Formats: sequence, C-alpha cells, structure tokens
Amino acid sequence: MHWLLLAVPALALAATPEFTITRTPVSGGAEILTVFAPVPESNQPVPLLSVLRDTLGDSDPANDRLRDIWMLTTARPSLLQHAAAGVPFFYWRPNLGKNADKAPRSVLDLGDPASNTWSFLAQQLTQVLAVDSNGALIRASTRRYRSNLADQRRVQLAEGLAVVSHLENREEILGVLNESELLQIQARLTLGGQMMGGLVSSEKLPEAYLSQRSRTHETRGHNWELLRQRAEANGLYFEALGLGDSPTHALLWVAREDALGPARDFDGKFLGIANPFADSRVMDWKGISVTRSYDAQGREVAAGTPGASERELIPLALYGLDYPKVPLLVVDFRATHAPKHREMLARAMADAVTGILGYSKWGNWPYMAGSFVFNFTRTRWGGATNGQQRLKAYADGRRWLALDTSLAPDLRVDLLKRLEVMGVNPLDESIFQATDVARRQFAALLAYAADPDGLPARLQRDRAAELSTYEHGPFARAGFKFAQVATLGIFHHHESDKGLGLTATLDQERRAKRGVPARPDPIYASGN
Amino acid sequence: MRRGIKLGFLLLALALPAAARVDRVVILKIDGLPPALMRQHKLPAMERIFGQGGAQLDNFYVRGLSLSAASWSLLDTGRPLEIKGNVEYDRYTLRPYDYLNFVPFFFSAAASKRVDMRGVEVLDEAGIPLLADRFDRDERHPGFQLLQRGVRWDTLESALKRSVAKAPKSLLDEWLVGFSITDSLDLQYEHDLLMALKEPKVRYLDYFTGAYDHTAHLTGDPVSQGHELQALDAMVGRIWAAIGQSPYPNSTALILVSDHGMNTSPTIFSQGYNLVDWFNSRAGGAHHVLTNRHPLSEFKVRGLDPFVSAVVTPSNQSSYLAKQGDEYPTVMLDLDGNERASIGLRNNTFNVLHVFLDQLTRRTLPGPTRVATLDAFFQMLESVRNPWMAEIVEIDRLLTDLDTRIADLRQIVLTFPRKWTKTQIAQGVDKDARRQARQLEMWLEERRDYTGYAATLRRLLALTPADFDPGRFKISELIPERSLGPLNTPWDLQNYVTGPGPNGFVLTGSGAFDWDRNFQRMNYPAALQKLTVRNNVQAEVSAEPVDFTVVATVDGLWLSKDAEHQALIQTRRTARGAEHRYLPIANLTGQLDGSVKYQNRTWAAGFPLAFFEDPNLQAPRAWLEDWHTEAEWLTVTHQTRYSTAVIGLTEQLLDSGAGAAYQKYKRLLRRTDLLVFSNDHWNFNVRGFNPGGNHGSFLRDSTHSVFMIAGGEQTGVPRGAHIQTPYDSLSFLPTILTLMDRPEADLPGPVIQELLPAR
Repeated sequence: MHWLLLAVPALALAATPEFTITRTPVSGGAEILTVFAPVPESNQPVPLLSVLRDTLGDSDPANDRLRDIWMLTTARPSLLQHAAAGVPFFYWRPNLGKNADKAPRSVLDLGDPASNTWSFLAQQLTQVLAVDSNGALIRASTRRYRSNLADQRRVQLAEGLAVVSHLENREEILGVLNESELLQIQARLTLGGQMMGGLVSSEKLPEAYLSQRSRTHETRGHNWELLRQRAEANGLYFEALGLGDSPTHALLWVAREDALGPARDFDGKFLGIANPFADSRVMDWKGISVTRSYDAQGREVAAGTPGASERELIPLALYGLDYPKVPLLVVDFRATHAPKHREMLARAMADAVTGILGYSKWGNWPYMAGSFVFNFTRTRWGGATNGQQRLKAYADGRRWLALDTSLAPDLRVDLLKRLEVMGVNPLDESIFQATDVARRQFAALLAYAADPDGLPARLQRDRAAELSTYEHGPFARAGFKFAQVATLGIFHHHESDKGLGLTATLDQERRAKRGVPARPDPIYASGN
Repeated sequence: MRRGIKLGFLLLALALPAAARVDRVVILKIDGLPPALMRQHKLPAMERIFGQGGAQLDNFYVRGLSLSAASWSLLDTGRPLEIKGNVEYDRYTLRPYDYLNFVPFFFSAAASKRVDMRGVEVLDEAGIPLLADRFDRDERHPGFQLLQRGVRWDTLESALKRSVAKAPKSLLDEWLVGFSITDSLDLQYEHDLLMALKEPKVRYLDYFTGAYDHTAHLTGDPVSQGHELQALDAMVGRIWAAIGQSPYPNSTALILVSDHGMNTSPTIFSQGYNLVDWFNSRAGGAHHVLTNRHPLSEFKVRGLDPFVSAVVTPSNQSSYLAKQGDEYPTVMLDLDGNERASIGLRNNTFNVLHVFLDQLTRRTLPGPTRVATLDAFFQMLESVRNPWMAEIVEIDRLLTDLDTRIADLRQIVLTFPRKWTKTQIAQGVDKDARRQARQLEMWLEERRDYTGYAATLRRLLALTPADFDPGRFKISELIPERSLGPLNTPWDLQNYVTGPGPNGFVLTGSGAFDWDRNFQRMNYPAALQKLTVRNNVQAEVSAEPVDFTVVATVDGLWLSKDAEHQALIQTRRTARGAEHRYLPIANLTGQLDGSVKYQNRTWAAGFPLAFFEDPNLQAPRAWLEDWHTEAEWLTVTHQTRYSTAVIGLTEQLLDSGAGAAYQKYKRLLRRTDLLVFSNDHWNFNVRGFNPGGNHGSFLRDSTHSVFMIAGGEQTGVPRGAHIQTPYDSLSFLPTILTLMDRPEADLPGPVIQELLPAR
C-alpha cells in the first residue's frame, strides 16, 4: 500500500520536461514502453528509456510483469572500446566507434534482478581465485576492465533513475505505467547500483523506494542549504538548478565588481575551488557571464526594474546536490580539468594498489583498517570519497543538462562541454552523441522486437525460466544450470506447465503470488 | 487463591454499569506532529478512532516556546515552565542543563550513577511530579521519552535482539534497504505497550516517538513525511485493537498528543542563519561562543562525541580574549527548535572590567593614561559594588541553607546498603536511593561552583590600587572563568562592550579617561534586527533572518523589529489571574539605572506580532489597548500569524515565583538576556542543516499541536466531536486527571470541559 503515497501532489520547483510514453506491441504477448523527452537541440522528442512489460497477451494488469529496462542513450561498446577499457591507467574516452545500430543490451532485468548480483559475485570469485594470481598485468587489466564495465552499468542505472524519477505524478504517464510499476522500477534502479541490491525481495521494494526517496530529498535539501550558506559566507551568488520537484544542481557565481575589488578572506571548505577574489583568471575572464538585476532585498528582478542594481556574474562552479553529505564539485570553470584530475588520481591509486601491487582490502587487514580510517576521516571532514556516488552525480549532471530546456543555451552548451571532459571510462558515450545514439538504439530495439528470433524468442525463454522459479528454489535452479553447463547443453531442464500451457500457468502463478483470485474460466487453456 | 478472588472482584466491578469513568489512559506522545499535515493525508485508523469515534481539539497550542523539552514538561506537569529550553546554562557557572542528550544518561544509568533524565531531575528537585508519578510503580508503563524516569533495560535488550534475531533473508533485506536501530526500538516499545495493556493493574501507559519530527526537520518532501504519518496511523490502529482485547475495553481512553507543530513546506527550504559565525566575527563582537553541540558536527570527528553538552567555538578576531575561548566564552546560544535563539551575553560590566584589567596588566599604558585608567576602573567597580556584594551575601545565605540540607541528605545516603535485595529492587527502593545520592552529588558540585564564583567576585571587589603592582594577581583570580555573571540590563545590551577601542586606551583633551573612545560597543538588539543576506533565492523567504527580538525590562517585555516598530507586553496580577496588555512603542532606550524610556505609538501595521494587520484577530482593534486575561488573549489571537505569542512570551520570560528559595534562585540563573525569533522559513540551527522544517517560534504552524482522544463506552468521551474552543498545554494534565476522577484543585490550567459532557 505504500505506493499510495505517490499520489500526494508535489509542487514543481522547476520546469519539468514534457515526457511522453509510447507502447510498442511485441508478438507473444508483451509490449515495449518507451519514454520520450524533448531535448533542446531537436524538434523531435528523443527516446530515452524502454521497459518491456510481459502482459501475457491480455489487457488485465493483474498478471503483468515488467522485465527488461534499456537505456537508449548508451550503445553496446565496440571491440576497441572494450580493449581500451582493459588498459590500466587509461582514463580517457576516445572516440573508438559505436554499436548504435545493434540491439541494445538491457541494463536490468526486473523479472530476475538477482542475476546481475550472482553474475558479479561469480566474476569477483573468479577474479580472486583464478585471475589475480597470474601477475600484475593480467590482474590490473582485468580489474580495470571489470571496474569500467560496472561503472558503465552504474551510469546507465543512474541515468535511468534520473529519467524515471520525473515521471511521478504525471497523469499522462500514469495511464501507461501505474504507480506500483514506477515504484518497482525506481527501487530496482536504485538497488541495482549496489553490489547485493538485486537480492532484495520484492516485498521490500516499497520500503526501499521510500528510503531512497527520503534520502535523496534529505541530501538535496542538506546540500542546497550547505552551499547557500557557504556562498553567503564567502560573498558569492548561489543559484539552484534542476528539473522536477527539487533542485539537483547549483551554480556559484561571483560578481565581477567583487572579483575586481581587493582580495578578501575566502574559506573554500566544502566548495573545492580557489579564492575568486583578486584572482587573475576571474579578473581577465573572457568566458560566459550573465548580467542580472537585483532589488534592494537582493531578489532577482527583470532588467530595467526601477531601483534595481545590475551585476555581471561570472560562473565559478557547478555542484551536484545528490552526493551524500556535501555538494559535489562537478565543473570548476577556472580549472575545468581539476575534477577530472582528482578522479583520475583516485582511480590510479586504486589501480596501483589493487591491480599492480595486488593488495586487496579483504586479503590484507592492515590495509583495510588503514583505508577505512583514512576514508572515514576524509568523509567526516567533508571529502567526496564515494566513487560510486561521484559517478552517479556526474551521470545525473549529464542527464539534467541533456533535458533542461530552461537553461540559457550558451550556458548549457558550455556546461556540457566542461562535463564532457569528465569522461574517464572508455566504454562511455560522448554526451553530444547521445541523441543520435538514442534514436538509433530505439530503431534497433524495434527491429529486435519485430524479429521472431529476437525479443519474442527471448521472452519465451524468460517465461520458462520464470516458471522454474515458482517450482524450484534457488539451489535447485543453480543445480540445473550447473548440469546444463557440465553436460555441454545435453541436459536441459524443462519445466512442466501442468498441461495448461506456459502462458496459462504463468497467469495462475502470477495471480497467486499477488493474491489475486484466479480466472474462473482460463482463457489460455489452449496454451501457446 | 486470594489473587483470584481479587481479580474476580475487579472483573465484577468492571462489569457493573457506572457513570462516565476512565480507568486507564494510553497516551501516544508524538513529537512535533502538526494538525495541518494530518488533514493532508489519508489516515484511516485515526479517522475512524479519533475522527468518528472520539474528539479532536482543533485549536490546541503549546503554551511557551514550541520546543520539545519545554513543551513536554508543560504537558507532563500541568505547571508553569520550570524548563525553558532544550538546553539551559547556569549563568554563574555555565553548568549545562542538557535535557535532550540521552547518551550520557544511559551510560550513567548503566553505571548506577543516575536514574532519570536531566529534565526529570530538575522537576524532582522542584517538587513537581509528572503525570505518570500519580500512579504507583506497578500501575504505570511509561515509554522512552525526553522526560525519562528510569530505564527499562529489558526493552533495550529486546530491541537489540529484535534487530538481529531474524531470518537471514530479512536481515539481508534490512541491511540493503537500510537498517535502523531506532525503528527496532520503536517497535519494541510498542510491543511492550501492547503487552502492558494486558495487565489489569496498569492504569497509565504512554509511548513517545520523535520519528516524524526528525524526518520533517530534514525534508519537506510530503511523501517522506506522509510515510511517517502512515506508520503512525497503523500503530494507532494496532493499539486501539489491543485496547479492545484488554481488561478495560470500555473504560480506556486513548490519547494522541503532540508537543508542538512544525513549520514545513513542500516547496520551500528552511534557510539557516549561522549566529555562531556571526558572533565569532568582528561584526558580531568577536565572541567566543558556547553551544550545547559542535557546530556542523557531522563534519568533525569530535562531533561524534555523544557526551558533549558544552562546546566553545572560539573567535580568531577577539581583541582582549584572544586564545582564551575555553576560559572565557562570552556568548551562550541555545538554538534548538531553531526558529528562535536564546542568547546569553556575559555581563557587560565583566567585559568592561576585564578590558581594564587586560590593559592595566600589559603595562604598556603611558603614565598619565594608566593613572586615569586605574581611576576609571575603580569608578566602574564602585558602581557595581553594592548589588554584587548583595549577590554574594545572598549566595552565602543560600549555601548555608544548602549545607544543612547536604548534611541531612548525606546522613541518609550513608545508610544505604552496598547491595539491595531483590524485593527492594522490585519495589524501586534502590532507584529512590540512587536519586538521593545523585541529588547529593549535584548539590555538592553546585556548592563548590557557587562558592568559587562568590570567592572570585569577593577578590575583585576587594581590589585596591596597591594591588596593581606587577605580578600581584592573575585576571582569572578576579574575573570568573566560564561564567556569564549577572543578567544584562537593556542599557547593557544596547551599549555592550566587545573590546577596547581601536587605538587602545586614550585620554580626552582634558586628560580624563575617554569612556566613549576607549571601548568598542554594540547595540545587540538593533544589530540582530539589521542582519541581511545577499542570496535571496526563494520568493517566499525574506532577506532578513531575524523577525524580532525580545528583552525583559522593568516595564515589560520589549519586542523590537526596528527602532520605529516596537512593543511592550505588560503583565499584572489581579483577582482574575494574570492579565496582559500590548503597547505599540518606538525607540526604547535602556538607562544606566536599569530603567527604560520609550515613545508611545498609535496602532498601525508593522509592529511585532502583526496583530493590527492580521485578519484573523477575533476582536476589534481597540481591544488590543486594554488589559485582558490569558483566556481572552488566547481566544482573540490564537488564529493569528503569531498565535499564542503574548501568553508564550510571558510564560517564557517572566518567572512564576514558584518553589523554594534555592530552586528559584537556580531557575533565575538559567535566564538568558534576549530572545531572537527568526522570520518565516528561517532557522538558527548550526549543528547541521534543517531544510525540511523547524519550530521554536510562535508562528501558528509551530505552536499548533495535536490533541485527540477516543474512549470506550464508559469513558463518556464524546464521539465525532471537533472542539473549537482554544486551549493550551496547561489544560492537558488536569483534563486527564479529571477524566480519571483524580482532579487536583491547585493545577493552574483550565480543564477541557467539552471532553467531560457526562460529568
């Protein structure tokens, strides 16, 4: 019943893009739901994210089941990208080709969210038991490759979450994706970023959603307030930005007249930028700036308002407000590469210690203790030590800038260019190609859905696997899988559909699981 | 057998028809729950139980400041405020009264040093019982709360077990979704309450939760806040069902009450203004500032220290007290609740004398200047000699009395055995003994501290010019360390010395000590009112963090927005009880003798509390000119923007006069110099950030509280009733006692008659 809470109206603080959602039928009884949003550089809305809903071919939502989520703004990496991702200490995003016309790979299977977790654990085990002992080169490259792959997936999950979070409370969306489905998608996208998140049971999803939602709102409010107070204390100008019902980013500006004035005390704690007063880079600033008018109360007013004073503002920094505890510096206008260098340094440290030297926290207790104390102290003092959350913050920034039509065009492009610099993962896409990639990926997805050997066939396989989950526990299913692999595919477990047919059996099972009464007259008796 | 017979009689008695009667009360204490928010959410259990089956007070208010410790003390005692903040400090010794810090209490209790939370200790010493104290030990089942009497260790143990004794899958889920020990504790307290409901002997049960208040401070998100309300609603449903299965299904009253409201909005972030930074700065006087917790404690390793009750944030711009922050904090701030700040400033004369001593002991003053300075020093000392000597005499007298009580109590404590029998423990004799031992310990500490303070003042007053020879004294021997000293007068606050003049000490043209140029002075009420910010980023939030200041003067409470918009709230005692009136004034100026001068103004818009322009004032404007009782003020003003401010301010700032001499003296020493109220959606929190919402002011969202009651058939509690008459928290306890046929005539608050139709 927690999903009822979503019905509470929240007033929008900033313009939210006009998202639309389309349905594309898939043979075999499913549909692809695709979220479109307008983007500033195109007249046509861009497909951002697709979800596969297995309807069992009927219109009754009681037996529907969400399955795959595809983030369309990201294509499968090319071979060269994969190769680059395995190079230790390579933290750039060269243009190494795209697979934008190949069918996209789903970022999350909502029907089997644990699969990613098990896969990750198996990879980790293999890494530790079989790979790490083969020398620094193999250890470092495989670890870097896996880390880049995981990061790419996290970025997709974060971008997906950024899109879905804007769909709440919108009538036109709720007519297609109901509130409990939205809640499920959001909770799973959040949990998908955690190592063991896929193991959370579906009954806990409302709690996971609410917990994540509260945490996000608390963090945004906290960081908004921290940054505003720091701006105030340092004589800077604060501007909150973002879409939806709470700001996700903020810009700090300095008035040119202040910057040209005498040097003054500046406390850069939590801001991560250099003193802008009497700084030659600000005094000689040739980049983007804005002129704004303020009334006597300091409120921004329209230019030419009687009694208002005009100030030319120079941008100093962009911060993400979703990072836990402190606003995360995403763009430093005077040192565009500084955040990237910090990110590269953090990665290089990890590659050197874990990849080259072979120290792992779990295998080296002093290292673990030292690392914990160091990170704990830095975090306590406001350091941004959480790499996954930093990644999410950059992804959120990219998604916001891609969608926000309210920003001044030159400022938006400037920010995008600076954010583009932040790319440290060879597997990632350039943000300037995202629109083109999204359109081509969507076309490829539709082709995949229309191919009888494509999505429809996969849907059937997934349904068979789903039926198995109703009949057997995880250990039995793992045993079947192991036997299949060990016999090179000769053994293949086939689940009995009790003579009803797969669809009818799944209809019964899904209803039973949700406590919905079975159909009095099964319409799937003939099976399919 | 005899027990069975007793139980039989009890059940028979319960079965007999009788007049309206409440045999048992179950009180759900919900910190910070605002009535307005409850109307925005679907709460089926509460609607069924209280809305349709019970009664709701639509206009129930906190009486003093909307602060948790003070507000719960009012509800739980039915007496005027003894506790006036979430933290208070003794002005003379800076001994903290930290009413909210659980951790030291639990550790002390575990070490058998303490039994009760600080608030309960203060009330016990004042002889003020809690509502639960009206019931015998085995008749009551209190939950865990701010005014905590004793600790139920078995509950904590069970909560811990509850947290870990789960199926592995559930544990994994909780670990991934977010594990909360607080949730486990709340569930355990609820479980214990449900168990206690089955006990026929238990007549009083309560349950406290601060979950909503905590969430609302952090976020204004309606879904997050709504989630807390849904959880509360479900719990109310479970408890009501359990009451139906209890031994008193028809004569139990279920009550839900909140201590204050919450000023929260889904579209506005509450903005903080850092008064610690301001007082630290040169513009604020370069003070070393004392607070109860570390500012921005989440960003400090030492912020993890759970035992802290007094933290000094030193100023690096202090002129005469540089690097002496720990010894000489000169400002004390209580910022909790966050829409108001209670500010204690060190006595202005202490500052002046300290600056004198600092200059004189430097030995850098030229000869004539030094002579003039010495003269001026003794002139200043002479001006305070009589009142300070009187103060020392008073301290001596009180300490002499205290010595007698200490000796008596010591004799009692010495008789306590080292070990207590099981029977004694079951009867709580050991805890009563520990309370007495703790009282003795506190009296001894107080005696030592007050004696030290008086001795330092004596040395100061005994100074002669001959003592100013090199090395004859240290300043710390003459100016009490960690002490704010006597309360400041309005003149002091408007002419507050923050350091020597920019050029040190100089003489006038005629060779006299130049009082004007030799000191930096600040007018604190005016300076605070003029605070502004440059980032005015929310249309609904003013650029001025401060709404108005309040100072107690001999002519009444002085409320000030600016020089032209001020007011006096005056109080007199008549046969009808306390009566108040509100006078619009301007330009109040403190005089050296402690009196004040001001100009009367005619009513207009813009004065503090904004009564004149408020459309919800339930009386003609002329009504404001006259004296009125508290009940009349409540009726006329409760729906205005500042709701119960007139009553609340007098409750907060005027002393009730109750209690024994020593207790009253200590209460007066906990006073602060001025109160500062924030503008709407501003707050003064420095410990962290509270963008979600705040309370502490008299804005109606903050004072408006919840009081709902439902009862079985025999209780006579009306059903489906919405009571419109305004009441404040003083009415809560006498009404509960009257419902239970235990009325107490000397309680000051009016009983809510609408809840007693059958009586």
